Amino acid sequence: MTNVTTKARKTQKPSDEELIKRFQDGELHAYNVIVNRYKDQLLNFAYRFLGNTEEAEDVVQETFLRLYRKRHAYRQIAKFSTWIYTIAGNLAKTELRKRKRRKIVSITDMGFEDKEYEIEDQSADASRKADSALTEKIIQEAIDELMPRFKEVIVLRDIQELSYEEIGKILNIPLGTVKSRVNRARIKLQSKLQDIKQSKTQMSE
Amino acid sequence: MSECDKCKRQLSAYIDNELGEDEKQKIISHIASCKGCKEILNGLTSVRDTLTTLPKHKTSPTFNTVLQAQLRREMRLEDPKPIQFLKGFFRVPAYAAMAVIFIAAGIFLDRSFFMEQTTRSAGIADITLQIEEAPVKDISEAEKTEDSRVLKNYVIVNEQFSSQEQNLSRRSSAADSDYQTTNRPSYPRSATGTSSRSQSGFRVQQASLETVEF
Repeated sequence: MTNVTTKARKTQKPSDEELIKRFQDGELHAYNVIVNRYKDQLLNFAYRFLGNTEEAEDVVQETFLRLYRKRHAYRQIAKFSTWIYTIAGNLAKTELRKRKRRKIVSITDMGFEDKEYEIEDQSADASRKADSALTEKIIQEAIDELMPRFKEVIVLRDIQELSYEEIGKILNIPLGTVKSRVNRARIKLQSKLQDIKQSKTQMSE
Repeated sequence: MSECDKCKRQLSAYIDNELGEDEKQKIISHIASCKGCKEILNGLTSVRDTLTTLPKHKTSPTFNTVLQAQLRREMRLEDPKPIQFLKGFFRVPAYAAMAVIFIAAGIFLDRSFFMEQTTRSAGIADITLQIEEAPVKDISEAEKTEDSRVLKNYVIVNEQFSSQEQNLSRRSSAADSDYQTTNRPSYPRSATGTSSRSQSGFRVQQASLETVEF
């Protein structure tokens, strides 16, 4: 019986907190496991927050570099996922601010986005894929238009599916604020989605 | 605040099951009788469902390679010293000790280098001849100058070999090669020691990098 329990424990995946502890003790393999465990979910988070794959990938790269650099700053009192999301979230917000400054400099790219909706493939499957891509594009556009404080809660809640408590810890805001922001973000998103859909319909007519 | 306003504020938390039992019951009873709030609830649920079903984006296939390269740079920045296997506060004394050893070795080798010449025929023949012309006669005086140690050695050598002066010019070419083969190795040896240490240090670093495989 004891053997079975030990065996079961051995086959269990180590927790994030165990891994970071091992990494802090100098085990590089633990770092590799953390990277592989988090890279895709952080990429998805950063992508939905920024709406740009390259920038998102840079943010995730930088997040893991920070993890390497600041490994000893992590304390076991916090959940590791909260810590890593806080790092990624802050970097994503910084990236957004940088982009804002860049946009002020060059406004010449306006109107470029519309070209991406010109879908001409005739096959049924391609058409379905295109529809789905179009829907995703519209939703992403609506997310992009949200203010950062609404965007971050909605991405963490509805895309990363984190609890209100964890979101509060990541963003360092009270639970009541999380509740109200999630609610307001959804209301805003709903109205933006309707606006975008309407404008697309008008354009196609 | 009207019942509807209260309800609207709580709707997302209700959808996400983030309400206490009392609040939850209040919402349930309110939406059962309020068409407007029910519609808003449906709209918000639809938004939530749309977002949760969005495709999940993943990192590019080159992600790990790029990260590995960045980490390699990071590790070098973090630990550029050749004796990186020494950790923390041991490093400073280790470098200090190394510096002392090198200085001591330098002085020792420097002295033994010239002392060695005294037992050899005319190992530094032409140098001795040049120094002979220098106006340094008194060793104690020479010690006051910056190059006193070197000069002192030259003078010693000079004195001991003054009797052999006549043979010097004849043997100087052979002596040069002798000088190179017999005396120089003491410097390259220490230099090789440093570089091999530094190389081994780098190897340690590289070995640890090799383990960063994702």
